[in-house]
Amino acid sequence: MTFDESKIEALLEAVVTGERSESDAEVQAAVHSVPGFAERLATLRGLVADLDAIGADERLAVAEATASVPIEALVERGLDARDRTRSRRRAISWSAAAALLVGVVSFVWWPGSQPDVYLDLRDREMHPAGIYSAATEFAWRLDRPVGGRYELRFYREDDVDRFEPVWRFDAGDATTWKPTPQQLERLPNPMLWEVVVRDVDDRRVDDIFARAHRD
Amino acid sequence: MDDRNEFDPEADLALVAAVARRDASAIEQMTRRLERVAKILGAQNARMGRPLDLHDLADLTQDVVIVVLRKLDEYGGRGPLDGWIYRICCFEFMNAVRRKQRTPRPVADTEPLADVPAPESGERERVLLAIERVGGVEAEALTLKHFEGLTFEEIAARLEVPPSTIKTRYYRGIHKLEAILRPRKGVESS
Repeated sequence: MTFDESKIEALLEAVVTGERSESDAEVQAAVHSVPGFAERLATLRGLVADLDAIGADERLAVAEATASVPIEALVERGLDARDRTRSRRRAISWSAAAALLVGVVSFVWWPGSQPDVYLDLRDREMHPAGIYSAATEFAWRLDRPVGGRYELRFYREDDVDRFEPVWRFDAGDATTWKPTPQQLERLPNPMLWEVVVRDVDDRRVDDIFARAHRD
Repeated sequence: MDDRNEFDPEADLALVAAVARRDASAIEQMTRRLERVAKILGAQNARMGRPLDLHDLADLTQDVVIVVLRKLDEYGGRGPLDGWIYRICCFEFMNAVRRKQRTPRPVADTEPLADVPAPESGERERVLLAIERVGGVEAEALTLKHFEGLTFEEIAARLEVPPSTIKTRYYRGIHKLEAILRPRKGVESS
C-alpha cells in the first residue's frame, strides 16, 4: 500500500476527528510503513487531549463564575421588558397609522413613486435576510430617538474573530438604502449586516442584524 | 455518514411564538437553551485570549440573556435558533471587549483570584495564545469543540455548514496549532 502526502493527511484527519479508529487497517498500514506517521499521530492526539483537558477546565471555571446568574429570573425579566416595549410600540403605531394612511393616499395619487419595502416590514425587522439581488432595496424598521441616526455595518460572515465591519456608513434618518453597483461590489458575500441606532450623543442604543448573500 | 444538518425552522419558530405567548413549557425550553449563553461566551473569551475576566463574563451573560429575549421577534426562522443566539453572543461579546478596551482600568487592590493563572497553567496559557493566533473559522471550530464541548454535528448545525466542513476546519486548526506549539519534522510519503 502506498501513501502520498494527501492520503496521509486524510488519514490523520479521519483519526483526529473520530471518523476512523487507530485500529483501522489502513491507519495501521500507515503506522507501520510511513516514516514519522506514528509519531505525528501521537503528537496530534496529545494535542487533542491537551485541548480536551484545558477546555474542560475553562468550562468549569466559567460554570462556577456564572452559577449564580439567575437564568430563570432573567428570562422572566427579559420577557416583561419585551412586552413593555411591544406595548409602547403598539401605542406609537396607532399614531403612526394616520401618518401612514396619508403616505398610502399620496402613493395612490402619485403613481410615479416606488413602493417602499419599509411598509411591509414588521417592527424590528430588516430586509434582506437571506438571498438578495442587485435590485434589492435594503430596508430596516426599528425605533430611532429624536436626533438619532442609523448606521449600517457590513461584516464578512466568516469574520468570527473580531467582527470588524469591512464597510460602514451613516444612513442618517433614512430607513432604506439602494446600493449602487459600485457599493454592491463593496459588500462581502456572504455577509452579516447590521443596523445600529445611535442617539444624539452617538451612543449605541439599539441594533439589529441579519445574514444575507447574493443570488 | 449523513452530512445534513438537523435544523427544524418550524419547531424553532413555534418555540419562539410559544415563548412570546408565555407558554410555561416553552419558557422552560428556552431557559435551557439560554443556559448555553455562559458557555458560548466562555468559549469566545478563551478564543480571544481572555480579554474579559470571570466577573465580566457573569455580567455579560446576564446582559446577553436579556438582549436575546428583547430581540426574540427578530428571529425569522431562516437559520437555527441556536445559531441566531450564537451570533448575538458573538456580537455582544465583541462589543463588551471594545467597551472594556475603551474604559481606563482602575488600579485595583483586590484582583479576582480566579483569573490569576496558577503556576502550573503555563501550558494552558500557551495553548490559549496559540488558538488566538490560529484565528478564523479554524479557531472557531477548535473552541466550539473543546471549550464549549459540542460535537461536530452540533457545531455544523449551529453554523449551518456540513459536518464534513467543520471536521476539515477543525483538522486545519489542529494542524496550525501544532505548527505554532510544536514545530516538527515532516512525515515522509512512502
